[in-house]
Amino acid sequence: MNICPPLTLSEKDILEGMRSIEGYIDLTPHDFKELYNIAYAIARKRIMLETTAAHIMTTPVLAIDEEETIATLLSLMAKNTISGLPVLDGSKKVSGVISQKDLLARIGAEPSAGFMQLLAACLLQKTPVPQDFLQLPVAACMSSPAVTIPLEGTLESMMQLMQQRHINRLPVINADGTLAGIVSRTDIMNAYTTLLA
Amino acid sequence: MKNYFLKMKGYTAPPPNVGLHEILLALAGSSLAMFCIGWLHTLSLQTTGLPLLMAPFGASAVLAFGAFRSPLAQPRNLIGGHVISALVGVTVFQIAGEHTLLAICLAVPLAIAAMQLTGTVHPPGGATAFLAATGGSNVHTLGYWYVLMPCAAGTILMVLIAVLVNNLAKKQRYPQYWW
Repeated sequence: MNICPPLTLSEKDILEGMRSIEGYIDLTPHDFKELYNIAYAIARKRIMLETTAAHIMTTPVLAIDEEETIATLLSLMAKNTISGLPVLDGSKKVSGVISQKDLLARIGAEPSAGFMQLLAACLLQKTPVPQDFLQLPVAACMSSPAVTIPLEGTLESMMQLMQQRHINRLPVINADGTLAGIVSRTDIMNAYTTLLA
Repeated sequence: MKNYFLKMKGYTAPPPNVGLHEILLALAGSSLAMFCIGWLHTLSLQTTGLPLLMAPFGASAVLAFGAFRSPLAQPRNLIGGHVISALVGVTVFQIAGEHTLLAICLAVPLAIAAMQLTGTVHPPGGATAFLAATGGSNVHTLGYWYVLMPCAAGTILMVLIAVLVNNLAKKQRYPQYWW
């Protein structure tokens, strides 16, 4: 994983800022930096804990019943240009998540295969797609149980879950297990952009 | 041990120096303050025999006009620091006034502690306590009047002038807090 350099404040930045303020400031750049870093860490922690799934989730969210066929799923995904969505059981509770990765794995391709790899595999007939694939129920291909987050799940816990489980979306569930919304990596990026603005 | 001495090296840059118009404003403000307090001092001496001006106000003027963003220069500290230090200084003089060295050694540290305890730290307060403990007979005859005149009255005047003058700067405000 690439880690970008930490956002640090240099004493030069502070001096430049101090120069732009009129009047003698009774504080050394070092003390300012120390205070800033402590306050920033406190603010960061507070924001990570105060920002919840309910704040940043996308809603309404598309979902599919687990009884539906892969054919229906494919047209739904294609029509809405999405790469994955939550799967609901008979009682409307989230029972799994289905994504491109699951479908690729099911037809015997690399889960991370790109379009060209897939095209090559299909055209060269190395991995013929099973005839009944399109008629399979979604439940047969989905990742289950779903990794979900409750409405009050924090930004910090969502980021940790996504990183640890290598997933791109987290269905957000109500207390009764029904679907409330979804948080994707894009939602997290948008939340960050807003927070940093 | 090595670390102890390494700490003495210093480790950061000084804050930037102020611009010319801030210097001019400090010049105007402090001269106005010294003139007003000095003039009232003369009047007061003639009428009541009580002083309004004392040397520690020179130090207060540095903060009130030269570093007025500092918490040390806010009204609470400027007035409170002098009043509390004066109380400490006069009390120490009443108790230990015959032993000058002892009186200084008690008045200054106790004034610092009292200002720290009350959240009114104002460096010139140390001089106020020092003066109360050691000053000549003209200071000692004031007794606890020293707390009111010159300390309380003089610093209130200085704060008023600082409020009037410092707010003439477009981008600065004084005070940051009153109490």
